[in-house]
Amino acid sequence: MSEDAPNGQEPSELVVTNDLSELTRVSAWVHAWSQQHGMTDRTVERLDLCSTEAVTNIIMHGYADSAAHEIALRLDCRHDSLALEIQDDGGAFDPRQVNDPQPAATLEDAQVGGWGVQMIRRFSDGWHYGRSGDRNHLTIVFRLSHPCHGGQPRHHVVE
Amino acid sequence: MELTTEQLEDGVEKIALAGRMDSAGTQEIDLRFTGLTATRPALIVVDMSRVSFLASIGIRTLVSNAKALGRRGGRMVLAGPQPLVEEVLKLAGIDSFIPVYADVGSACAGLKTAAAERSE
Repeated sequence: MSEDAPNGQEPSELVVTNDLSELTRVSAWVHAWSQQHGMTDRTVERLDLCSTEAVTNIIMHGYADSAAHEIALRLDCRHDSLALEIQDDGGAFDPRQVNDPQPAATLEDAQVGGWGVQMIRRFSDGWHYGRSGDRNHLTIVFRLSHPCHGGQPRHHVVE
Repeated sequence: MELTTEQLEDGVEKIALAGRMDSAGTQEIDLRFTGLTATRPALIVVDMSRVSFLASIGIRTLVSNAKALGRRGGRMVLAGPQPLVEEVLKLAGIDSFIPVYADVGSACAGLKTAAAERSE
């Protein structure tokens, strides 16, 4: 069954371009979709952070040229698990291979960047990566504390 | 994002940030923030209480400004982060090299104590 809802509901897919200003649209979409699918505030926070970090990484590091590229996002909710799928045509990049930054005890020793992948690792429950043709496929998985609903009005009594 | 400044007692300066500290938001305040930390040895409290979201790009800005300030003999601390923002700061280990206080008052006290220790 498709999660796409024809009745004026937030679509389960979003395509953005490789411009950092698009992050605002990604976050608005995540929030609207989550609200319609009964996500908890905590799930929305995790989804917001992970989608922001993953798309930021692609935009900032994924492309060798300065041309416009499309990044496709999809949310897929099945029972107690939510998958955020992200596809891009940037250079091959498996974020799972990136190590967390070394913890620093002093400001002098601290590195300035490199926190994004660590955020995804800690705020999600798992991830898969694949490369097919010229595209990266990253799926970030979140376990849900209660099953999602499809955006339909909830019935208080189900018999 | 919004950035406002306020001169507090004893030479401590407050920089209050508000909004989503993602790439779009951080871009809006980055230049002004850098201007406030890159030129003089100030004691700065960054009031995070109205920051609703902190992404890695925002952490980058906080760390690079704290470093710039430290190189000039100044010091930066953070105050009053909301729970999600505090979780992100701790997860990245930022609180081990940029002190995080519950509110602006305790941040000021901490800054002054550290400054006094250094000048002894």
